[in-house]
Amino acid sequence: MSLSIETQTLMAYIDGELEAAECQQVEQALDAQPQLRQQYDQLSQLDGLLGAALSPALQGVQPELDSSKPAQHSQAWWQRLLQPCWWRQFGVVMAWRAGGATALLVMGVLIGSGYERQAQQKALVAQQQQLQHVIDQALETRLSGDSMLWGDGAGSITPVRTYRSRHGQFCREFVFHGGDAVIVDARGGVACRDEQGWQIKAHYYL
Amino acid sequence: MNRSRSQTIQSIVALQPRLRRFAYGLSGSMDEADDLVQSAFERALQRLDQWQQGTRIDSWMYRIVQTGWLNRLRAGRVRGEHLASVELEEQGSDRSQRQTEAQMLLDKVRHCIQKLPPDQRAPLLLISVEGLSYKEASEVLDIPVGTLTSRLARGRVALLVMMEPTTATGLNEAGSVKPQSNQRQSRSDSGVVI
Repeated sequence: MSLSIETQTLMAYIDGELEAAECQQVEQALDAQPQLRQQYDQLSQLDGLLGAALSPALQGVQPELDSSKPAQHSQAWWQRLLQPCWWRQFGVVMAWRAGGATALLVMGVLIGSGYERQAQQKALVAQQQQLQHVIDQALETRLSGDSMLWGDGAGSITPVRTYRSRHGQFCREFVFHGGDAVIVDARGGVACRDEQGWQIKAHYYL
Repeated sequence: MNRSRSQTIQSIVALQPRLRRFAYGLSGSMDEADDLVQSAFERALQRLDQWQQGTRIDSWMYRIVQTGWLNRLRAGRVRGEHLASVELEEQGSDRSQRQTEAQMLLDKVRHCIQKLPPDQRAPLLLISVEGLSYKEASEVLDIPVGTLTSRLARGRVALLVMMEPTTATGLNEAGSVKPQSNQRQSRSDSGVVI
């Protein structure tokens, strides 16, 4: 007996979309045709793989849904129209009065800003060095999937994959979570280990 | 807020993990997924009166997520593939080989999902992952069941071909089962690019 089962029918069987009589027909064909059975297994396995691949979205704490935003949009048109008027007028008066004081402040800030900029740059360099140290530590000591916190727990780095390059170097892919965007503007990267330690080869910005 | 509205919102919040998974499958990025779900939640709250009692709220929410994603695609706000791609040359991990291989395989699946055209990706996710019936999925996507099954089949076959180019040749999305190639190639020989 040779039953010709179309791929879409086989898929409909897997998806539970066939009537009992059609199911029986497919099952007979599956018993009789090893190749069809193999394709059935492949398709069934694919569904399992898809579910497993996307399961990280189900795991962990879900981000809190913010229900406050629609409340602003749900105001009536006349409310939206009226609301800004009074504070705009008030704001214009206050802005003129504040203008003189602001000008004085700006002069003072400009004088001090040179020193401040230098201090900021120093702090940034120190933070970058600290980050590099954490990257080295995480890539050296953590298994793939294990995170290391940095910046007082504000961010973390997680090695996600390890492989050996064609030059024999160990390389690891890693991702950043959270953290200060000034210090870490990338989402992750790849680093390879040489005699000096872990050298970052690429950053991901997607 | 009346009780019915409050219950409906609770039902929507309870759907968050599934909506997030669907959005993750569509966009390939967890951040994008969270953003899509948040936008869908806001939109749903604004239009709660449009949801008809007695109909499935999950289908309604999937539709809002899908529409939001398509709008972003059209507006060019989605950059396409988000998943990182690294050429795997020789595996050398602290984790066991089996664990690393499993992780590699799942990465590859996620990578391949993002290579599917959007019109095949959504039916595949709704049916294979979210477990909707053909009728429910066709309503979510606002397409006839015939179009849906055709896109689903094309998506599945394309995914299998991307996953295992040599073993999936026996499947044809439009017709009957074709003879399988005898020239099988092991995964490690096929130069897997993740």
